[in-house]
Amino acid sequence: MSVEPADYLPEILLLIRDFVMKTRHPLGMNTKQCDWCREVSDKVSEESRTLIYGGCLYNVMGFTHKLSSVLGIIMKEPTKEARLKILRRLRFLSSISRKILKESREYTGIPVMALEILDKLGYEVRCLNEEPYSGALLYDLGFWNELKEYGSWLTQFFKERGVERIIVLDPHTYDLFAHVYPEMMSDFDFEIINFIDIILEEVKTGKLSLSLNEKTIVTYHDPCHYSRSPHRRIIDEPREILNSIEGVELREPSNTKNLSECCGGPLEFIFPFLSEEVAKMRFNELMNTGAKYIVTACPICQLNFYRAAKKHKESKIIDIIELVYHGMRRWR
Amino acid sequence: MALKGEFKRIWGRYAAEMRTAIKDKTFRTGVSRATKSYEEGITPLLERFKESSTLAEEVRRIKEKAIENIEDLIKMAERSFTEKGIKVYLAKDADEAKQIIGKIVGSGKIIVKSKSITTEEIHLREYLIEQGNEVWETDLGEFIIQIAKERPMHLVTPAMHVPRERVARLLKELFKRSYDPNDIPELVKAVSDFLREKYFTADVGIIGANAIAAKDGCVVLIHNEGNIRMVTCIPNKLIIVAGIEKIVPTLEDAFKVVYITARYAEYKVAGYFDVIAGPKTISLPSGERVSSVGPSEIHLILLDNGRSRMINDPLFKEAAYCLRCGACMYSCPVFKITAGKFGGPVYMGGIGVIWTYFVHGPEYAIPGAYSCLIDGRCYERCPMKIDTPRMIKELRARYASGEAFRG
Repeated sequence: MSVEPADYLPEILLLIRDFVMKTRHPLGMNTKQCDWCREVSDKVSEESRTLIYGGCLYNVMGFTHKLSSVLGIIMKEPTKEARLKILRRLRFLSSISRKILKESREYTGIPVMALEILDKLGYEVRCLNEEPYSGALLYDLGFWNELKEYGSWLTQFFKERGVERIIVLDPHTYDLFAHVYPEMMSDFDFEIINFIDIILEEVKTGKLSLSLNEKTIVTYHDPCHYSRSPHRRIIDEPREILNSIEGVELREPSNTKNLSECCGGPLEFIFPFLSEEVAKMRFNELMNTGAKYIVTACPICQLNFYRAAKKHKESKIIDIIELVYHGMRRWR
Repeated sequence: MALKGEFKRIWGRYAAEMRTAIKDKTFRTGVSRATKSYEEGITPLLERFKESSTLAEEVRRIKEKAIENIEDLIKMAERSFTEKGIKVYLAKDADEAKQIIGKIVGSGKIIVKSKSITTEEIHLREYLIEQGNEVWETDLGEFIIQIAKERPMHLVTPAMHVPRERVARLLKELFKRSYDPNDIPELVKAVSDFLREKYFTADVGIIGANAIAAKDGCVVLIHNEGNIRMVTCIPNKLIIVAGIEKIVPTLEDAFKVVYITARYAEYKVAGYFDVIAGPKTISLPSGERVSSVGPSEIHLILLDNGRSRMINDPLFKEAAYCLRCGACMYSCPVFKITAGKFGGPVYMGGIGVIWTYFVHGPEYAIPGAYSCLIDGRCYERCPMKIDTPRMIKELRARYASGEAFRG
């Protein structure tokens, strides 16, 4: 008696796999909706071979944020698959009109800010009006045959557009592009740069001088894909950036750096009730530092803390890119 | 497309247990106290005993070599133990192990046993009770689990999720008198008084092993309560049940393994170290050896039950280096909420998911494989530096491609 993945993998996992493969978008929507780049089309350099790429992640998180309560009911239990089957048939998420539901600006604004920062620093980069997803979820969930296929398609997609360097903004895309894809495909030979490294470089040369209007206590949450990456651990770099911002006091939570606690994000679609608890625990730990801002470097962490913060009016979660953007006062 | 039959039941049960655990305030309190205690204690302890990490690296190398040469070590162990009058059996699976043990024990016996996750793996206690025997767990945590009719939620502190208030209630039901939940010495005394009688009337003692020295023919154990001494010195028959991965070449290696196991389980030094090297005998001037107090018969059951398959699978071989210290579990963001509900039916946590795949079957490891955050805190704290997140991803790949259920 033969057994197939569809017999033992919950629908939500198969759905994500099929969405990514068919629509290049993890929620099955149209990549036309991964269009943060349009907002800054006046600042891009069309000829540039350097691409700033968000992998549609901020847009996806922006939608998930808005759809949280609806998605919560649909995805509540991995064994209750009937509701999810409806999603597949209706391609319901694909048909949501942008007029009715716009992604949360708290997320989609971030790649825009990243590009504006680079523009101010004199970098000539371009972005994509329609960003295909990076494929990261296929890697995490073990759909590696599909990942290879997707990665090959993505390689051609970038090559066709003359891309040679890719600046990435989030830990999942960075890990995938800098380490996983190059190992899988010899022609995935783009130069991958983490946005944080660019900012730190400019801070060190003194070209980028950051300050805030008032003294602000912040705490930094290490994304697991940075602080415990099996490939490259990014732990000190964000801290150096934060410590260079005039007016910022950086406080560490009790579990920090290579021992930071997780935000719970990777479980949010399979065991959402567990994911919430993990987020709550970490959120409380971060708030115990007395910080006004929790600085994140990953839109998934950002979303999970927003959810945990619902009842806390005082707390603010801010992406490091946004904090840098607000901190830019002088540059040479 | 849908979850079919047994798979649907496995997922359903797993999700339900998770949900219940998350909402259970009593459960959460117990788990929280234990994990917090570990988190606060381990770093200063490892600072104080700075040599620990270097020794842990050495133990990793010992385990690597031992696993690489496991077949030779098993043969060596068979010879050494037999020479000393300890009977050795190789059990290829759980059923064979139970049959062997069942024959040694018989029926109508009183059995005392020490904590051993390997005996949980094969559901030994339940089997022996079915065969008409009385079985008592002697480790305080396992005793509580037994009377609460639950399964252990951690390797070293199996009843971590049972707060003292519930212990008092369970003892009240068993011994028919009231206990003050905050008088821990009184609760402990109630159990040890009860067990004392059982030790002295038991026919059989059953233990596990923390390490097995192949060349010297000894088994090394650690415990905090002294219960293993009672189990191994008083009943006439002693049965040792251990996985083949416990075997290392020498007694020196075995001591190092056990020392590191205790250290990373957050012990300054475990209360008792025991070495079992043969039945208790007295040498008479005539040269004759007669048995003394303690077991005149010792039996060692070496269990495979999927371990060879794990060891021969290059991607998962390192799971066999696991010392069962429990450090990973105390460090895991999921475990801190769900305790042993995350994992398989017996083995807990991320490492438990890997073990479940090989000893209980791929179907039982599926929900656990997708409950892992792949955050890597376990790897940070593991003395053997076992890369569980990597192995979880590899398991997912086997499920996604269908390879898990082929051949």
